[in-house]
Amino acid sequence: MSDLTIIDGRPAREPWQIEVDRRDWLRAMAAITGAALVPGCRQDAPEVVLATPDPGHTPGVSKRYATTLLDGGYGCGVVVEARGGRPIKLEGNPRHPASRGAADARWQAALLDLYDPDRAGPPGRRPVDWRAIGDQLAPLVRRRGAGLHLLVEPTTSPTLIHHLDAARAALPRMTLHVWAPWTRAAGHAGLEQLYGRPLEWHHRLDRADVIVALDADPLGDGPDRVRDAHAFGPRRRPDALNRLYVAESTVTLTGAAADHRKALRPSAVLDLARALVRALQNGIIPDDPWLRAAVADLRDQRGLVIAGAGQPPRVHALAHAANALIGAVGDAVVYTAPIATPVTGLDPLVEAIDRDEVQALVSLGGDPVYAAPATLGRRYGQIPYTLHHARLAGHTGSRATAFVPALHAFEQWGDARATDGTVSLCQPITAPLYDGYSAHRVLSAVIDEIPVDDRVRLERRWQPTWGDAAGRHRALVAGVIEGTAAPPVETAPDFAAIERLALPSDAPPELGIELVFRPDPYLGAGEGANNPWLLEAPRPHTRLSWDNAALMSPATAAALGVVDGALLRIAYGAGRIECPAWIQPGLPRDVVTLPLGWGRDAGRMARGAGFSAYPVRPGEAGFAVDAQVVAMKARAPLACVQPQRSMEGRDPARWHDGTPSDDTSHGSSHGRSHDGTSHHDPARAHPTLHLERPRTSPAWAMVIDLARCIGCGACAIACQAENNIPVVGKREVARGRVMHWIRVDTYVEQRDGRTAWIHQPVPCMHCEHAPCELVCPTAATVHDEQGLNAMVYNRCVGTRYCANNCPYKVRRFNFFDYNGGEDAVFALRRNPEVTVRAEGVMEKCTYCVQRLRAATIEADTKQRPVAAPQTACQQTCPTGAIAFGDLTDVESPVAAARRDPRHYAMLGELNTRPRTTYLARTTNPRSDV
Amino acid sequence: MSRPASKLYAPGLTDASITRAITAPPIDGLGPRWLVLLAIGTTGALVLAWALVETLRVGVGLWGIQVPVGWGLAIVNFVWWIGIGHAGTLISAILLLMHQQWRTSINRFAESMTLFAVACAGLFPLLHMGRPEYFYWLLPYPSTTQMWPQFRSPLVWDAFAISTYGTVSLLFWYIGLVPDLAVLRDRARRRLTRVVYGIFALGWRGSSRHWHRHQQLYRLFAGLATPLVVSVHTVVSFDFAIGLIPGWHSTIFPPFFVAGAIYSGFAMVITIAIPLRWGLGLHDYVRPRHFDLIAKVLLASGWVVAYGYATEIFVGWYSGGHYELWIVERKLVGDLAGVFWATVACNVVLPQALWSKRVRASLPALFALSIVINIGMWLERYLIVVGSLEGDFVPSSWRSYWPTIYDWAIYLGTMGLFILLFALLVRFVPVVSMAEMRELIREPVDPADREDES
Repeated sequence: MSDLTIIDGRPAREPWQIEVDRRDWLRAMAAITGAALVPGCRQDAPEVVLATPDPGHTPGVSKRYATTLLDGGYGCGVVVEARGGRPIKLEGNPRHPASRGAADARWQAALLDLYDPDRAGPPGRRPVDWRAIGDQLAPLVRRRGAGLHLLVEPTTSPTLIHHLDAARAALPRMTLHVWAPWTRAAGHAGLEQLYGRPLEWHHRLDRADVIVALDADPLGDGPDRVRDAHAFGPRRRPDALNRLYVAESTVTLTGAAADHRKALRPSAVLDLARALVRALQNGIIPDDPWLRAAVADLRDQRGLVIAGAGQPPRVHALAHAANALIGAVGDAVVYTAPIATPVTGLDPLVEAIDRDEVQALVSLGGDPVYAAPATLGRRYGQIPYTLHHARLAGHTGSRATAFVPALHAFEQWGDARATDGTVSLCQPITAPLYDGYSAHRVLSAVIDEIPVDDRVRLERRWQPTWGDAAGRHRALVAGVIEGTAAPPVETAPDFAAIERLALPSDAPPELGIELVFRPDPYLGAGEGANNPWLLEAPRPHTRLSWDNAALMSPATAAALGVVDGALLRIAYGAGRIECPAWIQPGLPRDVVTLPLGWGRDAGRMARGAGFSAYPVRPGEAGFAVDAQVVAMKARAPLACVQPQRSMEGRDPARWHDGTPSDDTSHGSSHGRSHDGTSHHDPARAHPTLHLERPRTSPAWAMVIDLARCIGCGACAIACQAENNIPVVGKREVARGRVMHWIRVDTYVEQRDGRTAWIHQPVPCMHCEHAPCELVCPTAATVHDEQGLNAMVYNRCVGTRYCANNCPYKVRRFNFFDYNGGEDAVFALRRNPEVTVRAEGVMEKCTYCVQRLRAATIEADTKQRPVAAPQTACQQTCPTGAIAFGDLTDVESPVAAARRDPRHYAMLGELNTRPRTTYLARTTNPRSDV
Repeated sequence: MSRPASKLYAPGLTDASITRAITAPPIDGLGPRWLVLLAIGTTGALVLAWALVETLRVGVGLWGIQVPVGWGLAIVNFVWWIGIGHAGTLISAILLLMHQQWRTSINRFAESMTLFAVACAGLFPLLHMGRPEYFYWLLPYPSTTQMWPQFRSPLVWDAFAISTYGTVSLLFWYIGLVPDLAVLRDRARRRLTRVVYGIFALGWRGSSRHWHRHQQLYRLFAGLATPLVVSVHTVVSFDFAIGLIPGWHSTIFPPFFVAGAIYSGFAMVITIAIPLRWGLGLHDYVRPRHFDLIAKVLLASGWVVAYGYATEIFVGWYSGGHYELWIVERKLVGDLAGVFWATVACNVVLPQALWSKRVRASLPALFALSIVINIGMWLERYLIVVGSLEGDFVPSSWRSYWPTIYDWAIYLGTMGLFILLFALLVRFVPVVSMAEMRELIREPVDPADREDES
C-alpha cells in the first residue's frame, strides 16, 4: 500500500498520503465507530480505575489512567491521558521506579502502536478460529504435550509466569523455550558465573561518582534506560558532577555523554575488563591512560562498573567482580532474587526441529522468524503446525499456520515487574480497537482449559498482596503495588575465582573487520518497526531517518573506499546482506555497526525501511569477528535530517570549561553586564530600536541544560504526540521537510584530539524581538502578552518569509496536506486541544500553548496565580534537562537557571532576545589525562 | 535637401511609408515565421498552465523548496522578470522626459516587454504562497475581521509597488497606443477588425484638441512612471535587505538592484530587438545607432553592478562578522564559487567587449552578449535568494537546494508565455509608434545622431 513509488517526479504515496482502498476505508470506519462511539458512550468498565479524580462526563476534560508498558519483558509504568475513550498521550508514571515520571521516545511512541491499522492483519484475514486451533492441538494435549513446543519472550509478569507454570504442570511433556533477540541474559549469566546462583540487578546511577561503562549503554539500552538517565541527569550539575568513563565499540548515548571515552574493538573489551579487575584487585597500574585514570578514580570514589548487553557473560562477571572489589554492591548496584523467566535460547528448539520432534510450535510475542533467520527462520516451515501470537504478524505471523493478534498494553489487564521487582499493573483504557487476544487466552487454548477472564486472573494473583477493595483501588490509582520491590540479596564474592576470571589471555587480538550489532535507538530489536514516529525520528548520532545503515569510522570508510550511502555486501558465516554505509566518526577502526530492528515485514510503514542485520548475526551475539565487507558501486539514497554535523567554528552549542560563560565570540562584545556581576542576561543585552515590551507575569521562558541532555530524542516524540505533528516520510525528510517542532541537533567535533559530541535540543526560541514577526505580511505570527511568539494558523497564507528570516530555522511548513493524507485511524490519537494544520500553513513550537492556556484559565477561575505548567518536552525529558516557567518569578527554576554562569543565548548577538536559552555543557575530565 | 540624414531612421521615410510598413502586420497578417513563434509560445504557455494547475492542485511541495531554503526558483524568477520589466518604462518615460530621440522607434516594444515581464513576474508571488486563494490578505481592504496587512513586512510593500507599477505601465503603454489604434481602425478592411480597433481607439480623430490632451496625459504618465522605475526594484530589494540572513542584510541592495534591473532590462531589449528587426523588416526604424546606444547603457549599468559585487565583498570583509565573512568565503572559494564566478564572468568580464566599437556594431555579438547578461543576472539572483538561505546561522540547518521539474517547468513556461504575448503583440499592435515616428522625421536631427556625410 505505502510503497514509496514515484510517479512523474513526485511522491505517489507517502506515509502521510496513504491511498485508502475500499477495504481499508471500511476497516478504518469500523475502527472509528468502535473507538469514538462505543467507548464514548460507554462508562469505563467498573473495574478500571483512574489515576486522577474522575471528571465524570465533562466534555473536554481528560481522564488519566496508570498502566504499564512492557520493555524486554520488564514493566515501564506510564500514565495515559484519554479523551472520549481514546488514549491521546502518555507520560511516565512518577511512582514507577523505571520511569520516575519520565519517558523516552519508544514509550511515547507506544501510543501510536495502539492505533496501528496493520494490527488488523493483512486484508482478508479471517477471525481467529479457536475451535480449529483446539482441534489441531488436541492430539498433542492428549499426549500430555509431547511434540508441543512453546516459545515465549522473557517475561517478568507474575501472572503470566504463574500461567506458564500451570501450563507446564498440565502438559509436563511440553517444552518451554524463552528467547528474544536482545535481552539481559548475558548479565544474568555473568552474575551466575560470579556468584553461582541466578540474580537480578539494577543500578542506582545517582549514587556513583565514577561510572565505568564497558561497551555498555545504560542511558540508551535496556529496560532501565529511563531510570538510569533520570538518575544520571542531576549528577551533571556542576555542583554534583559525576565522572563517566566509557569504552565502547560503537557510538551510543552513554558514550557521547562520557568525560573519557575510548573506542575499541568489541572483541578487545574482555581484555580491558580483565585488566580493570586485575588493577583493582592487585594494584597493578595499567599502561592504558584511559584505564589508569578509571582505576584511580574507582579506587578513590564511589564507583560503578557496567558491562554492555552485547558483551559475553565473562565481561559481565568481571564487571560485577569489579563492583564487589570497589564496594559498589548494595550501593550503586543492587542484586535481588531473579524475577524474569530465564532465557533458554533457541538451540534446544532448533535441535528438536532437526530431530523432527516438533509437532507444533506456539510462539507468544516477538518475531522469531525475522530475528533468527538462519536458525529458526529457515526451519519454521518444516514444523507441521505453527501458531504465532503478536501485535503485528511480521515474518513469523505471515508464515504461521495460525496467527492470533495480540492486544496492546492499553487494551488488557496484566502485570509486570521493574528490574527492582516492583509490580505494576496494566488496565484496559480502551476497548480493543481491533480483533485481539491476550497471551493468557492463547495459553488457555493451548492447554485446553476454560479461559479465565484476565482481570479475574490478575485479581486472584494480587488479592493477597493488596488486601481489600481499597487496597486494589490504591494499586490501580498508583499503577504500582507498593512494597513489592524485591529485597537486596547479600552476596559474597569468591576472590580466588575473580582472580582466575581476570587472568590475561594468550589469545592473539582479532584482526579482521568486526561487526557490532545493537538494537536501533528507536526501533529496538524490531518492536517499533511499524511505528512511523519512530521510523521518522532522526537517530541521535547518524541523524538518519527512515533507514539504518552500516556505520563505520572515516578511516574504515577510506580503507574500504566507501562514501555515505554506498552499498556494501556484508557476509558472515552463511549469511550475507546488502546495505548502505554511513560514516560515523568515533567508531573504532575496522568496526562496522549494524543497527538491528529494521527491515522487518511488520506492516505498511515498515515496508522498504532499512535492512535486517539478523542474517549476518551469529545467534544472539552482540558482535562478530572477521566478517567480509565489500563495497559495491551502487549507492542508496538515505534521508539525513542534519547533513552538516560540525559547527564550522561557530558556537550554537557551547561547552563550559569552568570559566564564566563567554559571550564575546565572533567579535561581539556584549554578554557581560556593566557591573560585571553574574546577573547579566545575555538574552537582553543590546540596545534596540524596536518597541520594548514590558515583562508581565507570567513571562514564559525555557532553559535547556546541555550538560544534562543526552540526545535521546524523547522530547521530539513527546512533542509530536502532544502537538499533532504529522509524519512526512523518507522522501520528504530527504528534501528537508521534517516537521518536528523540537529537533535535537548533534554536533561532532574534535576536542583535544578526541571525538566529542554535543546535543542541542532546539525548539522555537520565542524571541522577544522576533525576526519572523517583522516580515509576516498578514500578521499571522504575533507576540502575546505572556511573551509567546504565537502562530495564527488561520491567518497564514504561506509566504514562508518568516521561516527564511528565522535565524534558528525552527519554523516548519506544510508543503503538502500532510495531516489530511494521514490514515484515518491514526487521526484518532490527535490531541483535541491542538489545531490540526492545513496545507500551505507555517507551524512551529508554541511552548505547548494549550497547556499554558489551561493553566491560565484554571488560575483565573480559582483566583490564584498561574501554577507553572509543564511543556510536553520538559515533562518527558528523562534527565530533566529542560526548565520552563515564569521569568518574572525569581524563585522559579527557569529564572534561577538564567542566573547560572553557564547561561547563554544562542545567537544572542543578533539581539533577538530569545526566551529559550541554554546552559553550556559541563564536562568533568580528570586533569591528569 | 537641407535636412541632414539621421542615424536613427532610414533616409527617405515619409508619413505614408511609415504607416504602410508598420500597419502591414496587423492588417495583412504575418507569414510562417510568425506561426513558428506562435507555436513556440503556445507550447511554453501550455507547459506553464500544466505546472501551474498541478501546483495549485497538489501544493507548493511539488517545488524544491524546503527548510532552510523557503524561497527557491520562484522568487529568483520573480526578481529576474521584474528586473527585465524595468527597461521599457525607463526607455519610454525617462528618455522621453530627457528628450532622447533614439527612444522613439524602440519604445513600443520595450514597453510591451515591460508589461509582459511584469505579468510573468506577478505569477510567482501568487503561486509560491502556501494558500494562494488568500493573496488579497496582503492588500488593505475593509474586512469584517478588521484585519489589516502587517505593514512592516516588505511583502506588503511589494504588493503595492508591483501592482502600481503594472497599472501605470499598462496605462502609459495604452495612452501611447491610442493614435496608432485609430490608424488601424481607419485602414482595417474587415468590419470586425474595424470595430475592435475602434473600441480601443476611444474615438480618436486626430484633432488638435485630442493631440493636446494626449500629449499632456502622456507626459504626466511619464512623470508618474519615472519614480516607479526606481522604486519597484528598490522595494523588491527590501524583501532581502530587511531580512537578517547573511547575504541579504545589506544596505547596498536598493541601488544595486535598480542597476541590475536596468542592466538586465536593456539586455532583454537587445535580445528582442534583433529578431524583431529581422522578422518584421524594421531595418528602416531600428538602426545600428540604436544598438550602439543601448550597448553603451549596458556598459555603464554593468559597471554599477560590478561595483555592487565589489562592495558586497568589501563590506563582508570589513564588517569582520563571522557570518558575513562566511558568505564571502562561500562565494569566493566555497560551495557558491561556481555560481558566483559564473555571475562575474557573465555580468562583469564578458560585457567588457562592449568597449569595442566593432562589437557594438555586430548584431550577432550583441545578441550573444545580451543572452549572457541575462543568464548572469539570473545567476546573481539565484546566488542571493538560494545561496544565502542554504547556509545561514545554525550549521545543523544547512541544506542544499535542488529545483524540481515543476520549478523549471514554471520558469520555462513563463518564457513561453512571454513569447506568446509577443507573438500576439506583433500580429495585432503596431510595434513601432507611428505617431511618434512621424513626429521624429519632422524634428531637427540632433548633432550626435547626424549621419556622416562621407
